Amino acid sequence: MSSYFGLFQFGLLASFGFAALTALVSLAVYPLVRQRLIVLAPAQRSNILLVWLLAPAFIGLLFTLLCFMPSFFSLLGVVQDHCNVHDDHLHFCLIHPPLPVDNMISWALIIILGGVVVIFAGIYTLDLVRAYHFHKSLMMTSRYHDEHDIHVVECSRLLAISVGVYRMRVFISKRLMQILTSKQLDVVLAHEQAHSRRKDVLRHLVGRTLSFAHIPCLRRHLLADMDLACEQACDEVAANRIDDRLYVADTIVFIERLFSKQQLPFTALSITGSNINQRVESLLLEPAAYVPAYRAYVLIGAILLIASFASVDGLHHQTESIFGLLTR
Amino acid sequence: MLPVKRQNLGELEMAVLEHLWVTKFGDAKGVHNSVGTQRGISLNTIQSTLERLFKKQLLRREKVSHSYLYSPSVQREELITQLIDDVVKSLSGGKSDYMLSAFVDFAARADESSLDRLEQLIAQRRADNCPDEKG
Repeated sequence: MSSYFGLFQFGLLASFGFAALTALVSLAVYPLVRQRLIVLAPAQRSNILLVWLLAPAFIGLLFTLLCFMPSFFSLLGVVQDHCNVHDDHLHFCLIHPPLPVDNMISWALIIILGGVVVIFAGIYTLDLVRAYHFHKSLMMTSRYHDEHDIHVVECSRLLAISVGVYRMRVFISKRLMQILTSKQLDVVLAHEQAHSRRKDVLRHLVGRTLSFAHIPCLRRHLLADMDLACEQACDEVAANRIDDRLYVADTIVFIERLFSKQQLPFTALSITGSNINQRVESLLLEPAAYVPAYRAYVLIGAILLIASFASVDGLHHQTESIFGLLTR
Repeated sequence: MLPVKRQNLGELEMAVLEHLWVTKFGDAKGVHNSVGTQRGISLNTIQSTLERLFKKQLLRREKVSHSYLYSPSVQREELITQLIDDVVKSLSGGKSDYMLSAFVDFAARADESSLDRLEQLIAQRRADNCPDEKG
């Protein structure tokens, strides 16, 4: 077996190890940070939550790459190869790749991790195929309304949705259009068009797919919080467009009442529950100001980058030592 | 309700259904003349499309002389309603994700008392904003 397989084996295990550590820290810290996040403007909150969702996978990958940095610099001839100095343990090195570990535990770990990735990829591929068919069926059964740039679905159900991953289209049922006043329809359109501009479905897809390393209970909370932030961000856009926050709140309650009266041929219960209360209550308050924090983000990013490069050697040796202990 | 779970429909299947919704009934040759010829599709393709729609229980058929006469067993609106219901049903189980966003949550309902409370809160805020209207 190629010795580069050993490198892949350790790289994969190291990535998941770092990701798992980040997920645990995240689980401990999020309840404390959540209280501060709630007061931020929804658009800003949704961005931060997306980054939070991606953090374990991103940090896992980043730290693993950093572990390889000393040997990468040696490969480029920037620094001297140090492997000969430490020949008593396993090397996380591109020049002297470690031999693959051929024991039951490491194989079991790799099979489990590989299985998780395959299952996630399979589920999302299936979801994408279903979404594509649903989108196609809706397109075929609806008529384009060029005045509002929407697709009107001739259906006895009440319906107001945006479908599509990158290019979203708004579908509204004819029955809902007949019931809503022109101003209420403006609220719905402004809200749905905001989803389309913000690429919220893509945001949800990326967040859901790449958050696999989070602890499941925290992942559910983060996704629910991000979805709520996206809805509130679109409510804010509608409120600005109509220039009446209370009217938007009224419209949400009005449409929720209509949906409650709609007879569905089965019990409709969602695991996340309805977020109407939070959305309406947020519209009753003054809008939270969007505080541009680009300088803070750049500063934090720069500090993290410098700290990461400064700790490259330590990270590299500690990881080697841990793997050395595990494979002894 | 449709007798079976609606399956994904192709563009040609939908075009055939659209044609039969207008004409009410038709045989393979008639459908081919209206739908197939302009698309450069053979009579065999139209026949197999009609057969598929029959198997999906979206068409009825009866034998007249040597050919089948097809008619829709569901109306347009009924089919679309079933499509939407399928999606809501999947979402309500929390098992799937259709890459969509809805103005109000598709599959979760707020209870009446919550909605009453929210309406009261909105009315209260409106009254606070316009104290003149109170008196």
